[in-house]
Amino acid sequence: MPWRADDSAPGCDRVRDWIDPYLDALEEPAGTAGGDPDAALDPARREALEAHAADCPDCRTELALARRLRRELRHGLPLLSCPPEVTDAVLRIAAAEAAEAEPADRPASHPDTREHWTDRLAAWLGGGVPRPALAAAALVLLALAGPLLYRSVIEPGADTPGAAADRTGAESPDGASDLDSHPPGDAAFTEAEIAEAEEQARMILAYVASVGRDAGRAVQEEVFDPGIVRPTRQAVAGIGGGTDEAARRNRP
Amino acid sequence: MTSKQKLRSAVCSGVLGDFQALVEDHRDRVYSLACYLLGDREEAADVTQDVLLRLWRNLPELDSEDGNVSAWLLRVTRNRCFDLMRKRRSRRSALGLAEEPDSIDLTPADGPDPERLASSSDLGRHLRRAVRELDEPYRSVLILREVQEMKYREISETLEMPLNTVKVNIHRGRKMLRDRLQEVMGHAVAC
Repeated sequence: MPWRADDSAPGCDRVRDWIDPYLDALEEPAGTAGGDPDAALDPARREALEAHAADCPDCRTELALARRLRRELRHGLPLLSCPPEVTDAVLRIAAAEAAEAEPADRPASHPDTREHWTDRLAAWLGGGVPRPALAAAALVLLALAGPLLYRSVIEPGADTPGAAADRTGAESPDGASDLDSHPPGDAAFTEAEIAEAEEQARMILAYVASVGRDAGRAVQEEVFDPGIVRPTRQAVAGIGGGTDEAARRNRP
Repeated sequence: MTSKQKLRSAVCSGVLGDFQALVEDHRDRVYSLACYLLGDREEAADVTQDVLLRLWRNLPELDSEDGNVSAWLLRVTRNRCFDLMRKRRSRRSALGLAEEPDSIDLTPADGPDPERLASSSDLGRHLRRAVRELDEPYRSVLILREVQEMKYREISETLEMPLNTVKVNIHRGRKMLRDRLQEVMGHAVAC
């Protein structure tokens, strides 16, 4: 049963249980800088312990022993210095592992570890091609290739002879539609061919999406904003007597 | 910069210098805990190297768990030491050998203090032996409290032990040490 301040004076056993929290509270008073809020003995117990120890030589000895033990524990078991060769070995191994790590293992969020896509493309082309030119070229390529890709992926066979006839339901010159030349339920391709085409379509779409995203961002930042849109707007504003507001908006 | 900020910096940048700063902050605490648990400098150095390399390889996981680096390191150190102690015990038991003598180098992290070492050499030797002979978890909690000077809550987090259990174990561990030292040295220890 916990001791209360209005209980009778505590006995030796109870007082000895309070010695450690008593010394904790003396060494690291709660509420002080660096103090441990969990190392505390309430004032009533502290006063009861001190009063008991003043009259009890055994508990006084126990208290002195506890103090000495704490002191000796800190002196007799000091914090030891780690040998420098341990740290050297750790840093050497870590450096070697960092050097061996694949680029894919590096954090993607770090701006310096990721090469710009136009630099990768320029390197692939042998270098010497400016990034804005590459970005613009990619945009033009996408504009040209996009519809073709769409038609070849989404509407396979759209550009093959007879495709127009398929779309309109018209007959081929021999009098039968292309659909009629294949068995029912198995139009133009086998299931394996369809599966392969779907896989290729997925890969192409993922690639186009990736390139398109990077290219769109780069073209916006590197070609249109500084190089085409703003000068053009300024020129138009200058020729056509644009408003001051428009000129301010387009100021680099 | 706090340990948590250094950890975040090391993970985000992948720069070795940030990891080096973490190592410099924590190496003595890891090494000391291993030394006092194992009582062997060579083994403690091996454990320290192993634990610090685990820190390097687990930086992203630690960061994503919003981990307390110090608590993680000391927990891993303690577990690694326990593995070694189990292996050592079974090996020595199989060979019928006695316990090894205490071989801890007492060079403190902040430089040697010959006066302090001389004054406490006798009691210190008994104390280290008494600490090594304590059962777990009393030994770990006492080392974390007295050597590492950790607060009760930090010990609770490091050992994943309830706060009140930490307090009770530290209290019991100290009492066992006092009894043990009184047996060995008599009342001289209280002077």
